[in-house]
This record gives sequence, structure tokens and C-alpha cells, in this order.
Amino acid sequence: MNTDFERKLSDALHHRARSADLTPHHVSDVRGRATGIRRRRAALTVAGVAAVLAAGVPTGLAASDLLGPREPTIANPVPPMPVTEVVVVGTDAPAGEAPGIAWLDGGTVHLADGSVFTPEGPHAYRALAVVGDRVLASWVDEDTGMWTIDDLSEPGTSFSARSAPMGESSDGVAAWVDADGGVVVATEDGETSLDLGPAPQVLSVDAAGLWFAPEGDSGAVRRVALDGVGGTTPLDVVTVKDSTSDLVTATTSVDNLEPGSCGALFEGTTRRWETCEHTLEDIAPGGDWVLGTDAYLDGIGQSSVNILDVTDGSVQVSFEMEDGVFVDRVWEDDSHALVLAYSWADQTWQVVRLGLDGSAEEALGSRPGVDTEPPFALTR
Amino acid sequence: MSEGTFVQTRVTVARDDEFSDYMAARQPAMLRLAYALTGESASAEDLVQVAFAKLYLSWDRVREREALDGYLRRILLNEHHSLWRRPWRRRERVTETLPEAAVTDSYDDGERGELWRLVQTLPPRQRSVIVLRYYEQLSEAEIAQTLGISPGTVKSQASKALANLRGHAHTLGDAS
Repeated sequence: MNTDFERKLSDALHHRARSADLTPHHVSDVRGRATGIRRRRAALTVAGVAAVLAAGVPTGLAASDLLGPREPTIANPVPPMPVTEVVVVGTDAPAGEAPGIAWLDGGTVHLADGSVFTPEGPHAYRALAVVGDRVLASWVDEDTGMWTIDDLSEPGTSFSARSAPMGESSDGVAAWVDADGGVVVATEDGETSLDLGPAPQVLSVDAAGLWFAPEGDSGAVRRVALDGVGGTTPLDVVTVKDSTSDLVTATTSVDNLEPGSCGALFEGTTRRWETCEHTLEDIAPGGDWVLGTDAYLDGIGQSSVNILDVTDGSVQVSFEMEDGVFVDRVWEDDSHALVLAYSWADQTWQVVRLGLDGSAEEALGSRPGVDTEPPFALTR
Repeated sequence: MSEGTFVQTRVTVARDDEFSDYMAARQPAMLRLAYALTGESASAEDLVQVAFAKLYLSWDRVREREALDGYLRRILLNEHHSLWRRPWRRRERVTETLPEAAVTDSYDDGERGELWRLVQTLPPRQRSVIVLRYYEQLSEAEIAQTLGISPGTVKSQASKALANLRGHAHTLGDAS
């Protein structure tokens, strides 16, 4: 506290916080909330988009010797890995080609074929999904939290939804929860509706089916075919992060104290391997690689991105952001990922292409801005 | 009731009593910290409820009770940052360019009110660093542990935030 200004700042915070009219909770309210969190474990990790931890657990506060045993015990851990070179990504990465997938830049839609157009209308789109020739752009009403999905391929066609579309462009499918709680599956041919109970949460969609978390269920995540035929298949995980017709990445446990998480790669519902080093995310289009980020999602942004071998979870290459975070990560093709990165040092956004060979080049950027308002949105 | 069930019930009651005592002692301070972070009562109360609920779920695994405050503070900060990533919670707009400070009187409440308002317009990360430093009185190392970032990043974020605040608090007298 060196200056009079800093003392005034401290005084202002204390004075205002002391005078706030705040209502304490009864312990029974907290226990009830805890029960809800336990039942809806899937929601714990879905909202978090950022990072810490993984490689460097802060000393003292997070020391594992202060805590009891972590759960669950890893039955099939990834094998010991050779030391992998870490590639540090900075804002000085060399310029490369623009993304080979569709993306949003402010209100402008860029498609993979190079076409660019700016939809008319007053709304700022936040998410984009490409389903065959259909382009679904979404905006959110910040007062209600409700999403509107505009089909830009058919002007005038819109859908009201509780969530932005969960899309998988390589499979030509997207899914969302509509205003009534039903799940809508969109393909190039149109939409079909699935009744999966009241207000489910869509976790992942692929060419064959989708994974969802039922509302109010005891945490079981379930899979259903896209046509809804054949019932549902449960998987005992916290949440599913991505899926193909035969592979699934999932978070199997979350630890808020240590903090960390464990994840696993499944073939169907059979667990292939498990790791507590990374949060497993998107599976490459060819099914050979998986993106792994920090083990703990703290809502700020991940400090690392790793490309893992799908056969055993071994690390092919690791990337770390220099004084910044990776906020979103998608596969561009079988050997390149695109990451939405924010530099705290420069306070700029950029999209960086990361290669299996350890290469890093700027695909979009750098764009000045605050760390809560990314100018770009990438599609899957 | 079998003997095993009876023992388990006693353990659960003791556990809940211990948690209740801790919550009663720490909740007022956590509510004020949450209010300093969010700037509004309802959000602060919700944030604190979630933080205590997550602590409750992990209560049995915390062996060193002295570390509880740090765990709870970190859960609260993490939840606060997660909320910022949910689009429907972004009703408040932050900007790197703070608004011009309104003309204020020279009384303490006017200065305090203006500084409070300026802090609430900081980006979430800068605001967290400022609140942990000047409200919680944590050191740079402690802030780094709480937020899971490097001390250097804490220093740079604090520096930017202070420069931002000073630049817009020129009507408050000594802004040096």
C-alpha cells in the first residue's frame, strides 16, 4: 500500500463492502445446493472454459498432502510418457493461411470455401454451425438467456432455443435444446425432434447419435441415436466432451479443491485409457488424435493445449500460451488444430494454427479487446 | 438400525456440525468479498452459496483446516470467472477504456463511490486482482496461488488496472 491513491482504493472497497445489504444463507440451503450440484455434475464442467493447473499446481494452497485421496483411482492410466518438447506460443507467431473452417468475425460470416458475407439485422452473432449447405448463426438475448438460431441459408427461418447449436460440420449435423425443452437435430435435409425428458442438456453430437445429460438425473450421461430409435445408453461420467460414431472423450471426475479432473477415452462405452493430466476434448476428424487441455477448468482460459495419441493418450506435442490463455480449441483438419488465444500482455485476440509437427502460425488476428469479449468464434 | 449405520450417522452429524460452525464464522466475510467482486447483492449471495456448497462436497477430504479459507476463496473466484463466460450473464459490459469519471464532490463518500464504480468497470481478471490486493490484502504470491497464474501476471494485471483507475480518477484529488 504505497500511495494515497491505493489507500483510498482500499478504503473505498472496504467501506462499500461493509455497507452492503447481504443476506446470509442457512446451512440447509447450502446442503441443498450441494445436492443439486452432485446430481447435475455434468453442468459443473460444461460452463467452464478456461484454465490453470495441469503442469504446475500452485504450491501450498493446492498441495496434495493437505488432502485425502483423490477419486477415482485410475484403473487404466496412460503409460509413462517421454519428455515432450513444449512449444511456447506468442503473439509473434508467423502469419499463415486463414482458417480452413467457417468462423465468425464480429458480425461477419466466413465460410471454409472463402466466401464472406455480413447478415443484415441488429443482432451480434455469438456462435456458428455449418450443416452441409446450411449456415446456422446464433445470438443470445442477454436478459433471458434464450438463443435465436437464424438459418442464413433460408432468410426468415429462425429457431428459438435454450442453447446455441452443438454442431459437427464434418458429420453434417447440429443439435440444440428448443424453447420447450425438446432436442432438435438439424441436418441438411431439415430438423427432427427428440423427446429426451424435460430440459436435457446436449453434450455432443455426431453422425450416428448424440450424448445428453438428462435434467434432474443423478448424473448419468446418456446416448441416443439421431432418429431416437433404440432407447438410450448410459455412461457413468461427469460429462461428454466430444464424440464420433465410435469414440468418446469424457470427464470422469472433477476435483474443485486439489484442483483437477480426470478424463477418459471410450470406444463405445468401453474405457480405453484414462488420464488426470488433461481435460480431454475434441477428437480429430480422422479419429487419430485428441486435444487435451489443462486438468482444471477455472473459467478464465487454458494455459496449455496438448495433442494426444488416441490409442494410448501419450502426448505428441504440447503448446503453452505465453502470458495468455487458449479460450477455445477445434480441429481444422487431421493434423492441425485452431485455437482462440488471448494475450494478457498485449490484450489482443488471435486465432493460432497448431500443427502435429509443433508448428504454430497466426491464422487470424491480432485484435485488441478485453478478455471476456472474443471477436472470433470458431465452428466445429 | 445396525451398529454400522449408527456410527455412520454420528460421523455425518459431527461432519455437518463442523461445517456449520465454519460456515457461520466465514460467511459474512465471504459475502463481502463476493460483493466486492460482483458489485451486486444477489450475485454475491448466489456466488457464496455455490462456493460453500462445493466446499461442503469436498469437506471430508480437507485434512488441514487452516487451508480452508484459501480453498473457499479460490472456489469463489473460479466460479465468478466461470460466470463471466456464460453469455447470458454478461449484462454488464466491461471495457478497457473506462468511462470518464463523473464530477464528484470532495467528500469521502463521493470519492469512495466513484472509486467503487470504476473498479466495477474493470475487466474481471483485473478486478479480481485489485479486490484480492486492496480488499483482501493478499500478497502477489497469494493472489497468484488463488488465481492459478504467475506472480508476474499478477503484477502486470495490477499495474494495468491501477493505471486505468488512476487515469480516470483525476477528479478525486491525489491520483498519484
